Amino acid sequence: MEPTVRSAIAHDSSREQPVHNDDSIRPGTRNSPAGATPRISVAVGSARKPRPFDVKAAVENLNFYYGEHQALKNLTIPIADRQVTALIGPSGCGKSTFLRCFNRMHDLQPDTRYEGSITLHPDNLNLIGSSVDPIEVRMRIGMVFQKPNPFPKSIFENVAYGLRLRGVRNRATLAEEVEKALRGSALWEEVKDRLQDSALALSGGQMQRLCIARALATTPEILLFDEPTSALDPIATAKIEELISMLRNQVTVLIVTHNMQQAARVSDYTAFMYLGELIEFDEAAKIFTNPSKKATEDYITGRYG
Amino acid sequence: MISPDPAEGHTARAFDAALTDLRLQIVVMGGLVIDQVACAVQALLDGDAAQAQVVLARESRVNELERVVNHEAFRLIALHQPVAGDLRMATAISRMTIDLERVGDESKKIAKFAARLARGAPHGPVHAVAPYLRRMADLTTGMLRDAVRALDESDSGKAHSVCQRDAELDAEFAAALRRLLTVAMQDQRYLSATIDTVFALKGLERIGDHAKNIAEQALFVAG
Repeated sequence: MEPTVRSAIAHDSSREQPVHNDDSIRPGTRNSPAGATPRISVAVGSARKPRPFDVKAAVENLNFYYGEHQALKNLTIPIADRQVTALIGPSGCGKSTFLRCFNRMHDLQPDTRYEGSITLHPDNLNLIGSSVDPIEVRMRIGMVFQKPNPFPKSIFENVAYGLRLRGVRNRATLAEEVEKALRGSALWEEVKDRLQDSALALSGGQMQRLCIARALATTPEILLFDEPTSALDPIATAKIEELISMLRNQVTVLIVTHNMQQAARVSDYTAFMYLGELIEFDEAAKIFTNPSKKATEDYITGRYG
Repeated sequence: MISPDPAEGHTARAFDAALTDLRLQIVVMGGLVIDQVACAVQALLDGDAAQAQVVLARESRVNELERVVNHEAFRLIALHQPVAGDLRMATAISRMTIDLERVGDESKKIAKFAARLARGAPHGPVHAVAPYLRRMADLTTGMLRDAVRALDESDSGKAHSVCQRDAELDAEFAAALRRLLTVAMQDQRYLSATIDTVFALKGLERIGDHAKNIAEQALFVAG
């Protein structure tokens, strides 16, 4: 049994050990037995006691290439189970590219290449393994984009779409699941009387919550958000942030955002990326009060260079 | 090294200007407060009514500076939403103004005692501990100066040295009390002036604690 799997945590001494080294990210174990969720500790800085967390997905030595251009460089990041992890960094640092690896969006583009692994726990599925069907990956990992992109169909059909795709035919079941998803995305009260109206008639913020409902309907294990509020006004943004906070504890959330305050508000863990590399990964509270790396400090305080 | 992203956050230049301004005001306030301590103790040692009056008159400026600096720090936080080192600096400045203001209060109390002495209260007890008062005034003003500098320059070394000197100050305070006790036991006529002298010594000891608090804020800023 690996020392980092959850059962080892029972021995408190393993937690007391000073686990930090320079970068202090101990990746989850690749070969841990199926069914066991690895638990790791993140500790940077001096005397801080690390808070252990369960790993939903272990990214290890991930490289990604667009043709000859290497967009991601040897990334190793643990994604905490049912917590919110935010990815921050300047434009072009690779955070969206990184996010898109999780549901194999890059497969749709020719001449791209993955190296390394993203191990989804508890069944140790390598999301970017060449033998793994991207359709299966997308069934388990939902995504919400920058601009709301509802289908030109009714509100109901937008949410029911993924369920129908999975062969759910029973009307009652569909209605039940659609309601659950719409409640889950805090949209139900606003649309329950007009489920047959076109989704395109909704406001921007409502459309975005509809897209979240659509993603939730198929009960994903990880939900990816790619700048979900950059096209929304402050009130709609607050609602989406509220929703993301509610989703924590139910689903693992990975969010790319340009808005640093947003990352500080919604995330439990924050990764700062620059030029395709991971500069710093830590608890959000640590990153935004006392980051360990100067580059992180420079970026989050708005001092570039 | 990192290209600017105009869509996000404060512009560093406006923020830096505001923060620099705050730091400048803190140094000004620190300078004024240090002078209050020195003048108050000098007035006490010399029984100088005019000097004591200077301290009492300037007390309102100390209070005003505290109000202004605190308001500016508050505004800076609300408008620029600083994080990390910037946030630590802004909150530390806001907190240190409280300590500086209390140093001002202690100086005021010492100056009031000095004014009473000038009006004819007995000088005996003060003269008995004059060397201690002088040393404690030198120590506290030095500690305050280094604490403010440590914060302004994010210098942990200076901050640590302030914390260490606090023990020295406490030792002076204890020695002065012993001396005063001996004097009081030999001659009990000046009980009121003796109590006032104890308060003056205690005030200087408290000023050392405030300097230490500021030094701790400097360590907080340094991270």
